[in-house]
Amino acid sequence: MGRARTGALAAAGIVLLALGGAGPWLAPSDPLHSIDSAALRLLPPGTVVPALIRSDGKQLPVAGRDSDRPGTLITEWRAEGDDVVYRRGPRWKSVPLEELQRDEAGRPRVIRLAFPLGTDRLGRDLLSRLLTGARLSLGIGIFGVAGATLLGGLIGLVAGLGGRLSDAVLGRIGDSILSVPRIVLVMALAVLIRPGPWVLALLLAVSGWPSLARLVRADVRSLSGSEMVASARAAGAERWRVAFRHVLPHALTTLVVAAGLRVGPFILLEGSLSFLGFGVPPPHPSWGNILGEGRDVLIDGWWITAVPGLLLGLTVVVVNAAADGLRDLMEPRRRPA
Amino acid sequence: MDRGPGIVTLTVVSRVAAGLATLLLVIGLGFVLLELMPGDAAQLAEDPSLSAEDRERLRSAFGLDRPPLERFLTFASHALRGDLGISLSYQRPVRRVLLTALWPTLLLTGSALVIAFALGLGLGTLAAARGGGLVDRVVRQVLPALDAMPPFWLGLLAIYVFSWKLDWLPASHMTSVGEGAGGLFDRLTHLLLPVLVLGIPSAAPVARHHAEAMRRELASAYSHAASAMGLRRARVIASAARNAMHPALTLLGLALPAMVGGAVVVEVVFSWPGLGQVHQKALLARDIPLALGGLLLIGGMVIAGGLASDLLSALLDPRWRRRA
Amino acid sequence: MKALIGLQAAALGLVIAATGCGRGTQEAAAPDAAPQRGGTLVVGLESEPDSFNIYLARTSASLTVAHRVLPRLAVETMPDERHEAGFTPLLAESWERSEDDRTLTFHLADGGRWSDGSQITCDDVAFTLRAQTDPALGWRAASIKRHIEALDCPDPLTAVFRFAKSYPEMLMDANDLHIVPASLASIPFETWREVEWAKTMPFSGPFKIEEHKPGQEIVLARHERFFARPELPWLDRVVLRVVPDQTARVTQLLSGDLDVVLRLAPDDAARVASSRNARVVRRPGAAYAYIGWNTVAPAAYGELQLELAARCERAGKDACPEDLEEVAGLSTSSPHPLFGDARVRKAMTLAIDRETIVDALLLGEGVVPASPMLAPLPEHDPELVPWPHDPQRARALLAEAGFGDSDGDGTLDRNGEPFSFELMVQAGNKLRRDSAVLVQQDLAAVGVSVEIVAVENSSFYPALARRDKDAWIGGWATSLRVDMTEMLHRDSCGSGGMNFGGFTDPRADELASAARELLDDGERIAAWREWERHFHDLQPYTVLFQENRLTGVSRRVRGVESILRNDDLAGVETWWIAAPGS
Repeated sequence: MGRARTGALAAAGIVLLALGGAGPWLAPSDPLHSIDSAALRLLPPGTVVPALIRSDGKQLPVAGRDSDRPGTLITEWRAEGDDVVYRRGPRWKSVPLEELQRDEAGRPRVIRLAFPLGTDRLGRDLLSRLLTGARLSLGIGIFGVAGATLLGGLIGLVAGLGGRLSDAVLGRIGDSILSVPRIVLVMALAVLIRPGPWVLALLLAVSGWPSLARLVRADVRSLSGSEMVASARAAGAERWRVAFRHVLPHALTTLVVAAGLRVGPFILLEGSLSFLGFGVPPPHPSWGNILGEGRDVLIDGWWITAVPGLLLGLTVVVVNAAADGLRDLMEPRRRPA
Repeated sequence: MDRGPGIVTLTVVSRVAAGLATLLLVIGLGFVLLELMPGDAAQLAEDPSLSAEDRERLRSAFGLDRPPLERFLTFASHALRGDLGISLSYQRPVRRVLLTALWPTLLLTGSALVIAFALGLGLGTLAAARGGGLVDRVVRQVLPALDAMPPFWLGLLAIYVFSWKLDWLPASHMTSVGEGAGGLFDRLTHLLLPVLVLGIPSAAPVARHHAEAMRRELASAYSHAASAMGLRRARVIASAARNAMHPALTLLGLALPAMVGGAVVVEVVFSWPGLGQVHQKALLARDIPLALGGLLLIGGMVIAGGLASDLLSALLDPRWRRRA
Repeated sequence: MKALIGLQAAALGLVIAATGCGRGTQEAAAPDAAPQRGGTLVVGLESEPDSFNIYLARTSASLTVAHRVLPRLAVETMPDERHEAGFTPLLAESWERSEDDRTLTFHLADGGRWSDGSQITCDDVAFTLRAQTDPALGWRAASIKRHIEALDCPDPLTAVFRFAKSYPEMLMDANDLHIVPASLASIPFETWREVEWAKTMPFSGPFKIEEHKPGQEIVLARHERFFARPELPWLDRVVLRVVPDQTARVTQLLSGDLDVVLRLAPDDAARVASSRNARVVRRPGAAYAYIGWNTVAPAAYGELQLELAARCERAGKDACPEDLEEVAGLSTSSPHPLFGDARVRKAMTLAIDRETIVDALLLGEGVVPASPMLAPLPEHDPELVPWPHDPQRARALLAEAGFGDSDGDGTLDRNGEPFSFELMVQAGNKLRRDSAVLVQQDLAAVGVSVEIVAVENSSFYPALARRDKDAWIGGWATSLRVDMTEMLHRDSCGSGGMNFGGFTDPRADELASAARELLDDGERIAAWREWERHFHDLQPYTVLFQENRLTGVSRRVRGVESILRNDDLAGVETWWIAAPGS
């Protein structure tokens, strides 16, 4: 891989990790609640909205829509006698001028609220939700792969080294799990247990071990027949000792490479699951369930689908590229395609 | 290796037997999962006006008060006979609900597979033949990028662009209603978006795999020899492609679960009346018989598909063909 | 007291039923010309009917089909600003109560015919009642019929319902049937689930089931032999098309592929209203959402049940009747630490900004009701106004109840216990989940911490029945029957009842019990209105909102009335399609 490419990849990777780790703290607004759900509902990306401020500090955003002109955002407010009339969602509200914070000239103080990526159906800032959701979306995928790798490695080892029976049984079980499309399997499992992030990661692991186990088993079998092992056995070493010292390191390489290649798909899987309603339950955001919510407002709020989807996709591209790089690194005998 | 007809039959039989064993395990797996689910199917009705007696009556009417093992055995024996019980949410035999949904899924998955392989093999061959350039970039970067995108996102994007903004293609279902419904053109326009959304990204691994295989073939001694003998480049490529196709076919069997899984998502996005959508709704509604039946059928489909591709690849094994 | 309700011939009665009392309002822009015969109406459904046999079905889509193809004795109309509550004759031309008020006699019209030409008689009605109450079939609403002792058929056109006792809703309960022919008796009830009802069910409505494409659509066609009014329906066909995706339904309405979309979301309503092809028909909803507060300590109910069971065992019996006294007494003997106090409940209502919920989630398409008695029921006192959003007053009430922020962490507490509770909500109901989020926010502003617990729809009511939750968001649909004893009375505190919060109050219970039996309208209404005032003070529920029912209708469809009924396509037999250009 070219130097520039590696560099770009590394940078992207670091950004992603940072997102995943520090996301919630980087969020400018509360991802779970909106300042005003009626006023800030479904604002397009880049919207800036004025807000009045009450004497107690509460912000009163001025924004709304009229059913006669559904496409235009009304951000008007005006003084009417002692009151200030402002638009909030589907109606006009009024508040006495004396209850608002004012500047020296006696006019109401106005601040501007910005929503770079827009807001969702409940008026929550999308940017904040994406940043907060990064942790779950990335974390579940990564821990799911870790779990699958652990399980798959162990089972594959047992299958490869054990007798015919255990191999056959484990193989059949693995095959039956593989026969059911992963998403269908995890959907059914997720309905069984109330989904929380760790549970989801566990479910992903349970659905993912067979293919990894198969790889490990194949490696172990072929290595078991190799000369190196044969000579070690001839020298009197026990089976398990042989396994750990000779077979495992080689199998480990395969495992790590395969695991790396699965991180991307697992992140996508969590996304699909949450989208379909079987993953992280709202209101806690994950990229997948934000997309799920976005589906219902696709026409009025296309950015809720466009941005998270793009983000998810790009993340997977970066992760896959990194995994490819890892593979090239660890298995240099493969000709780069 | 000598593959006489006897050995082929043996292979077929053993594969089928293995497939059946796997199927039984899938039944068992599915049953265990769904049995442990929270929520009583008869309380599915969100109507709080059900009295306790009404609920008990419903429970016994649906046989939900007998021990699990007995239920599984009854179920398994019925399942193998094709009787999968009554769907709680449709109030009709599960078999009928699933069979109605089977064809749309087969159509969708089958067409998508054709697209994925046609595109994948075609692009892979071109990429290997041209050795770099635009096609190579498509295979190595564009297609995998598409594959990395969430499938439901691509679907929603496609709906937004092609259906709502451009109004070229319909957004859901298999046919329209009213005049002009059901005709071939109508069905094709409805099929187009889901199939492309499902098939194009899946072409990525096929294309990559095939391109590699092709390059190996072209670089092999056989091809060099053929070139040296003066065979036109096109012929050389064609014969290399035929040889390289065999590993691609094994990919078919492996790609099947992923494809069916992707079909589930695409079906939901496009309201395509197939197994995937039926299964998802059944799970959300805790309609145990239907969800279990769906799981079974989907698993069975994949096993059957895998078997078919195994057999196909065994038949097309160049070593065997050369012999025959 | 005899209430003789005799009315005109069924034909005229049907006109009233179909078009409301006199000439109702139209929401079409163009003045109405004479109805034109012909055309196909395409209706978008969210999910398909789960059965064409109404006694096996559970979804509202099934009810929509049943209303079109099966006859009823009379049609129930909810009141609204223009109409009174009432029953309009359909198959039954007239009916009367006996002297002792325990018998209801219906006189059937002579012209009722099934699709095969046979006459609709009392035998069919009797068979229908049997089907409704048969345990093998397990009709989910069978308990409605529990007070009906018998049905006699002195002659083919007279049906006599005999009741065990008299109560206000006798007519409603007797009338609640979609009549199916007695000829179906040849099919045993146990096998009803296996039958393909689309082909087998005879019909006698203005429409018949012409075709059923499972998962896709149901085609209803004009039934040429509709007995009540032969010139109806105007439409040739009504196609019920299954389009599960809401956005797809709306898009198809806007593009003209669909003519009717039921239950529009408020977002979509705005778009439909400003579109060229379609418009919005708005009517007040007949259902409301509420927060139920558990007035009993969470573990108390379960513990009591265990104790009762133990006591029963010690007495050497297998099963003992439930001791309603003890169960109903729980709210006094083991009150909920937070919500056992009416002041706290009222504070919750004051703290929640319900108007914002309506504005944010329903885009203003809804109202905040003062009580579970929805306007325009006469039992509701129109003078009663819902509590305003007043966090100040809420805090004052909470302080009165002994809550303060002793550790300065932002959450109120009392005796070292923080004011924190779990709010249960149905996982599948987006509107209610969103409401929960907003409620959480509002309560946090007064120092109350809420944790939202989403429970799968199918587990929701079992979870509620365990009575171990602090609060939940639920919904009720109203009908002409106003009977608060079903959910907010000591009688419904038992394990079969729906008083999940265990609420009782001596005076309120007394009023409700009395009102339940009063046959005189004036007395009954007065009793319920007093009950309503008690509800207002005690707030066992915080009523959140009542959604408007929004229907999207293509502009080419005429004759659409906005009558408040639970049947979405009420009166569709009088709708007609204007030819383009008219």
